[in-house]
Amino acid sequence: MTNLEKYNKAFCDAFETTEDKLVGLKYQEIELWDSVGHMTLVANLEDEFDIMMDTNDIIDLSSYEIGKEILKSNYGIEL
Amino acid sequence: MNKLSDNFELNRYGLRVRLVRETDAEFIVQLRTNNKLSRFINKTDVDIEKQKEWIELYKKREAEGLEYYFIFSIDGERMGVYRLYNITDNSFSSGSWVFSPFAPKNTSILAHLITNEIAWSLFPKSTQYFETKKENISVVRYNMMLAEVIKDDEYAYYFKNTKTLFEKKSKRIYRMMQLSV
Repeated sequence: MTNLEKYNKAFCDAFETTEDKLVGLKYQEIELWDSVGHMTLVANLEDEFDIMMDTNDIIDLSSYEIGKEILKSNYGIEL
Repeated sequence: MNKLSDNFELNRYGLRVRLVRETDAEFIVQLRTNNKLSRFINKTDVDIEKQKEWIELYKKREAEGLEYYFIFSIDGERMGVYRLYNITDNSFSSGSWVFSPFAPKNTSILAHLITNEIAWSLFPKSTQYFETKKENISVVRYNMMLAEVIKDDEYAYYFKNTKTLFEKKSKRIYRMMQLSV
C-alpha cells in the first residue's frame, strides 16, 4: 500500500467515506469529522504510519490537504 | 460500595462537574429534545415538569449510590451531561452523553474522561457496560478505541470495560488532549 493509500484509508475509515470525497474535506464540514471523529482520525494516522503525532499537529490537522503537509513537514512522510 | 456526596463537585481540565439538580430540568430537556443531539439517545418527554419529576426520583437513586447524573459547565454555563447508572457491587453502566453544539471543541471528550476517572475511582474493581447505536458512527469509533465490543445487533454495539483496560487504552487520548494521567 502506498503512503497516499494509507493516508486516504485513515480518513475513509474514520469518516465512513470514499476516496473521491476526500479532496477539500475540512474539519466539521461533514458530521462525522467532529471532535470525537477527530480523535479516531488521528489514531488511524498514527497506526497507519507508526507515528505519534504532536499535540500542535493534532490541533492543526483541520483539512485533508493540511494533513498531508503536516505529515510531510513534521514526520517526513511523502504522499 | 463507594458513594459520592450529594454536594459532590469537581473542577478538572477547565470543566466544573456537579450532580444534576431539579433546576437543571429545562437545560436537560433542551439538550435531549434537540433534533440533532437526540438522534442517538432514548427519547425524552418535552415536558419540563415531567423532567423535574424524573430528577426527583433520580435523586433517590443518587442518595442510595445507584446512579450519578453529572452536569458539566464552563464559567457557570452548562455544557452537557453524562450519567453513570445501574450501579451494583460489581458493575455499572454509562450513557446519556449529550453536549451542547455550542460547547467548546473537545468539551464532550474531556467530560467523558472525567466521568470515567470518577467512575474508576469509585468502582475500581467493577465492569462497565454501555451501548452505542450503530448509526452514531463517530462515537462508535471512539468507543472502540477505549473499550471492548462484547456483541452487536442490528441497532447497537455493546461494550464492556475495566479500569485496567480503560487506563491502558485511554493513554493515547490523554496524550492527544495534552492531559497528564
